[in-house]
Amino acid sequence: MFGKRAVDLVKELSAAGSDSLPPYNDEQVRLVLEEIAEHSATLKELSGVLNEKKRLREAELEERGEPSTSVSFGDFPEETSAFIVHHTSILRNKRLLLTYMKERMDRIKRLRWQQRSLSEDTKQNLSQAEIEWFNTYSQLLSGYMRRDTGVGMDLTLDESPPKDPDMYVRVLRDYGEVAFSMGSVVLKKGSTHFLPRAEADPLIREGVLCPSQSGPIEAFNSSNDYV
Amino acid sequence: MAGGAVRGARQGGDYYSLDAVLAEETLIPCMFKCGSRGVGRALDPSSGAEDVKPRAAAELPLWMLQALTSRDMLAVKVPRWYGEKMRRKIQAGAGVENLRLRCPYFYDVALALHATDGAPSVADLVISTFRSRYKEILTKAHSNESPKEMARIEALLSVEEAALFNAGRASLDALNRWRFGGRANPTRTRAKRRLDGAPVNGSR
Repeated sequence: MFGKRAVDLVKELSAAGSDSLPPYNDEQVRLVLEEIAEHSATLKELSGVLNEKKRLREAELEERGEPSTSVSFGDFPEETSAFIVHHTSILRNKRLLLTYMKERMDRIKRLRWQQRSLSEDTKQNLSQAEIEWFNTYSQLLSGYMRRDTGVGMDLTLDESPPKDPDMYVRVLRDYGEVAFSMGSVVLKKGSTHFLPRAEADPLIREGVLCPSQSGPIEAFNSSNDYV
Repeated sequence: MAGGAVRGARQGGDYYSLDAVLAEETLIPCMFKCGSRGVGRALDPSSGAEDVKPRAAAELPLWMLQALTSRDMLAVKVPRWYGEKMRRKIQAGAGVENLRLRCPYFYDVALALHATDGAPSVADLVISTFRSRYKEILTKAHSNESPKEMARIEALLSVEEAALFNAGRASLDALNRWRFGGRANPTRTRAKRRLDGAPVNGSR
């Protein structure tokens, strides 16, 4: 009670670490909403009681011929404090739910920039609304990056500005001959190449290449002097 | 109500922050100045009564305080991790104290309490704690300990301090990556070369 369920939702995200996306907890969200409805019902009841008491007190004062305008809800601290407790709890629950949604949305957005599409595993952890949101966001972003409607650049390529347009890559599995802008290259497992970053990137995502910190000779040398 | 305004601004600033939300879940010992109807069991599941009596003690989460104290319905007591015993421990040596265990959001909670109307101020204690721990955190972040030792040190820090600690480590990593060309840990030849004054990054 009193925000405990909602805080569990947020804790779930916090404990999973900022890079992972735990399954959308439909059941728990529903329970929190129910809790809010309960609070709201209690609030209505309390406000009825309060208004009734206030009316009675005012009538009482009027009978005695005293001014009745001085009566306020503060004169009934028992009900007022309970009223505040319930009201604050609703606000708290709302904040926790919004935080839960917002944090998930941020993480899903990050997935769009890092992986472009959702893997099946990830998709299972998303709610229907979240999948729809992802698709809409994805369309917007693609539209912005297209040549005819937007800037004509793939902005998701580099999360941080690259220092060098070219990069060293190591081949992880045989892939045959591939044509690059500077000529064609035979990608043979274990070999290292110096390729344009933009063209190597799709192959890295595919798992054919992996970025290598250094050139072929360097890589050979440094394998010995790792302590 | 200046305190309320400050607090409101703070909440608005990181409304969606996970840590801010979790910090506000900290339970603070309080005393009800007036009774409260029908919330007894919800606030404290172990209490049998539905109603809270006047002068009843309770532990309320931080987010509930401001609404009640601003209407003078609640008195806030000093939580034990800011208490007299803690004060003596901090004076003896703040560095060894396990803040994670006492209160994971040691500083955030103090800040929120400070902004709450009518709550006791613990500013001087918290400032002196931070002063004596800050230097140690940064020094240890830059030391070359084993990962196990680093984890042990981090486990003693509050969440806010751990963020500083990790920022310190990240800065050291970044420096090393720049010095030794792409690796956080230098290989022998690369480290040697740097000392010789030859460029490390021009491996092409």
